[in-house]
Amino acid sequence: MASSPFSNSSKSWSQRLEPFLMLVPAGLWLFLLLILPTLLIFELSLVPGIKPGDLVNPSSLVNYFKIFEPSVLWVILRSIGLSIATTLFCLILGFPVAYWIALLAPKRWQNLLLLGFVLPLWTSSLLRTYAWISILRPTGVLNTLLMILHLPTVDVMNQLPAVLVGMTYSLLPYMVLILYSSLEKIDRRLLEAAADLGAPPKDVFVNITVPQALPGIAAGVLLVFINAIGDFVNPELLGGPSSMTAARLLYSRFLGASPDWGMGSALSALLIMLVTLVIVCLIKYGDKNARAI
Amino acid sequence: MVPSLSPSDPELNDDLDIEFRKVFKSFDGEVAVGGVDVEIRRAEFFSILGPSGCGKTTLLRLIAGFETPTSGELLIRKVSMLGVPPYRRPVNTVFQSYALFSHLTVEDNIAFGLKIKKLGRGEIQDRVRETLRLVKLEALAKRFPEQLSGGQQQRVALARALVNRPMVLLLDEPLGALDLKLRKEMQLELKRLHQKLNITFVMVTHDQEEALTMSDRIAVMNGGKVEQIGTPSQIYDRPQSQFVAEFIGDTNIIAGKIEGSHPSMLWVKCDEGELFQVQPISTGSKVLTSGRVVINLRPEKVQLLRSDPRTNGTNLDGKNCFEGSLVSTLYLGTHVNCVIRLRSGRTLLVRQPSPDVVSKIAGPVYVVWGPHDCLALPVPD
Repeated sequence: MASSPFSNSSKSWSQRLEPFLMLVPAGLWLFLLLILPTLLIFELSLVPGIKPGDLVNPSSLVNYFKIFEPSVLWVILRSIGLSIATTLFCLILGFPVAYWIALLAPKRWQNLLLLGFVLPLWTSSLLRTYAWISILRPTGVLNTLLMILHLPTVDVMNQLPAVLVGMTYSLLPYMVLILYSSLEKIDRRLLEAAADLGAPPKDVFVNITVPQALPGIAAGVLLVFINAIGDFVNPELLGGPSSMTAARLLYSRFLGASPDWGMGSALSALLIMLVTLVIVCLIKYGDKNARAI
Repeated sequence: MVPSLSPSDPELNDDLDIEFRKVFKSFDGEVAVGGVDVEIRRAEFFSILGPSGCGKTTLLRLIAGFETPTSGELLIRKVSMLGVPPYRRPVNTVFQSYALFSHLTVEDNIAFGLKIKKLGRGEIQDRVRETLRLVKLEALAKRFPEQLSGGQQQRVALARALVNRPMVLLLDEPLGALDLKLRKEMQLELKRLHQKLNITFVMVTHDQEEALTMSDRIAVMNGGKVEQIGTPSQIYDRPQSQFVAEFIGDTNIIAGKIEGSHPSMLWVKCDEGELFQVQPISTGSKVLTSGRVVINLRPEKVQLLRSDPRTNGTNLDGKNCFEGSLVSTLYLGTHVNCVIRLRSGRTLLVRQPSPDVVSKIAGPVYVVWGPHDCLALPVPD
């Protein structure tokens, strides 16, 4: 009499735990390699002047004040600006391509065209960036071509434009893929219905195609922006000393000649919060667009 | 751009809304519509009926402008639609699975066409409200399509088309996705709207019952061609081909050969050996007087008797009468379908109104029908 409810409840407990057991491997992985390090970074960011090997001391916000020094603030603003520009370029260049592949190209070509677009992703990103160096440097492919055409040469290497080109190039395939999958899912009959109701192609595009693709656009923007903010290779190799970005600053604070882990951690924490904010905004906006039930 | 003629414009004596003139349409060499001549009159409820793949939806899409004829000509109100894109045609479509804009509310879905035409805000509001009332959806104006039931979505699709006051409303299998009860309701609803609005409805359907109950005229299609155009009773009672006879309702198709003919009677020797008397009627242009035919005999035209009318003194009056036995029955609520095997071995489908009459039958039964109850049709090529 006393044992039966007890054993019942223990049985139901194990049953309730079962689904969570399946989460353990991935959960452990996430905890050890993502959540724990992130927490450590947040902790480190609150410790003033820590150097490798120092003991953890009582906290303060000194590291965060360092970020708000004008020189560091400029770096962060430049990073954000560069990422926004990259995202815009990817959207402007990627949308027509994705639209064409998804809605206009013959059905049997679609996969091949898409494959062609994704093909660059099969080579190392480092290699692709080096390729851009050989194109953009003063005596590179671009200027040789301009000289042959008797046009003035350009000096973009080690400048922001070169970084923008490199980042746009590396992130464009992601944008195209995401936009394609969202455009491809649009019910063609919606486009026909709009035409049937009197809408010329331009109005169909503005009133039906774009709104229907909006979740995809949001996802593409999100993915490209986050990757752009975190990009280290392109600014480092194409940007030169004048185009310092947050990711490069971060690198120098941890692994550079004069490390400052505290300030680096604070910068990391800030970037994490910024990206989280962007995600939250887009999810919220996406939700509004996807309608609450 | 869009001719703004009201359906009752007195200027137009000619009452044709849509004319297909020898229209062909093929997709990658595959013929979908193979030479169609159809005239659809003003304000009629016209159905295009046929099995899937017969080209009926292509016909509708040709009217809407989503397809262009490979050859031939299509006219709407006497105006050739050659090169006229869908958005400039005075027709609106109710799509098969509604194709509602999921990112817009019911109200905005309905207002879409009016906003595109850049009507004033006040007029848009008035017309949307009026149309919502017409389809009884006032309460759901602010909802999104996915929050509606199938029947409600259907009404939104109707309203979205009707609010533009089209000359012709095109309906592509409009009730196909609804359950039986709702379908019956919407059939009445569509009839009511048609009578009230007095515009041409062109409906594509594969449901012969739906076509019969709703239409003023029906075009039966098969293999990209129109087999027959006529009123529901013409189509049902006077089918001009075996295909039409079989597609519309249950029937018995019996192959045979004309043995003798007379202006008022045909004698057809069936392949199983029976001799049928059939009243000759013209099918299409020609009257059949010889050669092979198929006989179309509707199950409800056959009388089922328990005693032999030839021996108990009933005047058969030139009717066909055969002895057989009851093989099986199928109870269908309002009537019973019986399968009767004749002595020749042929089985006939016979419809009886009352279930208790047939339930107790053992022994022989007798089937009787008059020459005017069946129809000799040309053998399909």
